[in-house]
Amino acid sequence: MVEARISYPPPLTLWDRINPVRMIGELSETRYWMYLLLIPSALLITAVVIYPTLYGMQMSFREMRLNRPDLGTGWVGLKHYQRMLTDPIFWVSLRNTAVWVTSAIALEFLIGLIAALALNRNLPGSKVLAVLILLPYFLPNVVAGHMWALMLDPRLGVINDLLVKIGWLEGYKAWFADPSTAMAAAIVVEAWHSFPFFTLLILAGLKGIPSDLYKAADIDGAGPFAQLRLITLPMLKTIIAAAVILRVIGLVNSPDLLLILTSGGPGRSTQVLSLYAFQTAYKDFNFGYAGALSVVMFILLMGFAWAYVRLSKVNED
Amino acid sequence: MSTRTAPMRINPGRFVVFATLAFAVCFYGIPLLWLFIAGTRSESSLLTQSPFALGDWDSFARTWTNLTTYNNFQILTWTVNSLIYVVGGVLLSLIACIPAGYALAASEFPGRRLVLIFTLIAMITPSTAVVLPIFLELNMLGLSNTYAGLILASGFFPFGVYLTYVYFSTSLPKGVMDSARVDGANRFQLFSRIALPLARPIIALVAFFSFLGIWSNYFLAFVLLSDDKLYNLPVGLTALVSGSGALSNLPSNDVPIKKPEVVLAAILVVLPVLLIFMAAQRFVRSGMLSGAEKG
Repeated sequence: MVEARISYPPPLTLWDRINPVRMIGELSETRYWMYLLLIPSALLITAVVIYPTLYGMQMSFREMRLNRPDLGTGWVGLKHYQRMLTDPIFWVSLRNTAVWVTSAIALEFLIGLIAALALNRNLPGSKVLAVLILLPYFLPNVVAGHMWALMLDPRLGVINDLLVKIGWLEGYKAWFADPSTAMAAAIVVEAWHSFPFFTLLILAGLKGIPSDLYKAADIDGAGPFAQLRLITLPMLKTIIAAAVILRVIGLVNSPDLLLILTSGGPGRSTQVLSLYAFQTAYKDFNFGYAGALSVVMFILLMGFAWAYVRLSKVNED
Repeated sequence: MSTRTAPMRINPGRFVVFATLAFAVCFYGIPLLWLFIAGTRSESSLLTQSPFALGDWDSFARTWTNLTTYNNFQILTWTVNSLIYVVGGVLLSLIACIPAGYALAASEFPGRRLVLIFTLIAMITPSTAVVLPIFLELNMLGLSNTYAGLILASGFFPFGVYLTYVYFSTSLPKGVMDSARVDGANRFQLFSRIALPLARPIIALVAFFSFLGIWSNYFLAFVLLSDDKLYNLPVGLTALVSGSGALSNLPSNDVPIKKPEVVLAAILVVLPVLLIFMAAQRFVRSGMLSGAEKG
């Protein structure tokens, strides 16, 4: 602090005070410059994530039926949640969601693991194969859905044709019209579309396992299955858990494929929660109840989200 | 790369590996092959001939004309719409992601951990839970059924923030930045002159992923758009299918949209994705792997 050397800056004009370029330049020299860079994403995240989430929550405590304006939009407390407890469709949807998510993910994990193990052998051509295997993951859901709807079509379906030829089927079958096969067929389509996600993540994990472990296991006489069970799977635990959590969230969230393939039918045999919430809003125009269904889904998923945040160790760095 | 090399002879292990890969390729290749072949065939050929019979040029040309001229060139409108949504959405997501990822990687500040956690939560927020409120929000702002509305709703890509953050935290040249700082560059010059030129690969990666998400976007577009002049291609394709009854095996009607036209429309949706993926697969794979290893 040298008192004699203080020089006063020229007084600011009004334009200087509000000139955005000057303000940014000035702010960029303070400790808080990084907040400026965060502004665009902060605005967007508020507009499309935070505000809608909070709005959806308060919606679930209100009467909100777009086709019954006479009912108003007053608070109804826990009415929607109480209705849910005795709503058989809700429980069917919950059960279907569980079946849909667990079987699709189990299948995706199994195929994904086998494909990753095979690709990791670095056989000739495995790079090309890796690209080919990855490719369908990038097919839009809509295309995957319509393509399979065509292939499983009861009249021209390729799949029916093949199954009849190899003798597994007596005649052509309308897979999506039969309540007992609709869900299974949809699960196959979903597994087809998304197993590369597991392949990719597991492949990344496999590259990180020290090869010494396998050499030691070879010397100890452990066979391929013992190696898989005792080395590979335990070493991949974190990556598998992360992949499973992300897929659970993705699957619970996205009704696209089921919307295209079955719209929840026949009957309620493929009705899942996300689809039910969507139909409650856009077919029955009951936004309050749809909001409550979404909140229940949100809470279920936040459990998984929390697990993922813990796994990815954001709170440790 | 793995250091485990199998001996070059036929053993059961190698056989299993090849069988698995062959199965995986069939599992994917056959459906895709079928899709592309089916686009060249006529309706009656689809119904009567073997699944992989090749069509001819005439029926392909007829299908193409039927599809493009249907309803006053509707499919071309949808294609243009899709392009508008993609360009707007990708730009918006880049504007949001790249600076934010840089800020998170280049500095320590109060609330940084909170921002990271929020980003992760946003990555996994159930879209179905927010889609109804977003619909009402856009209504309120007068943006429902506008290009801007869907661009706004689909333009945030939290995974991009995370990717950029991971990329910058390993690749920023601290030494160069410190000396530039001493030479009098302000923080934003550091960002625009040093960090941005370095960030080309990550910009491409974020743009690729958000292109993919927005081009394939079905659910959000389906919910937010009710005017069929504003549909994007995925919603348009579905409207085409349900509107023409092409897949429902009802007695024939006089709508010229039959199965071959639907297949061709599906190819139209998927072709840009395939082309861009082929062009970009190298950096996409390495980028995704680095993201996977980090997270």
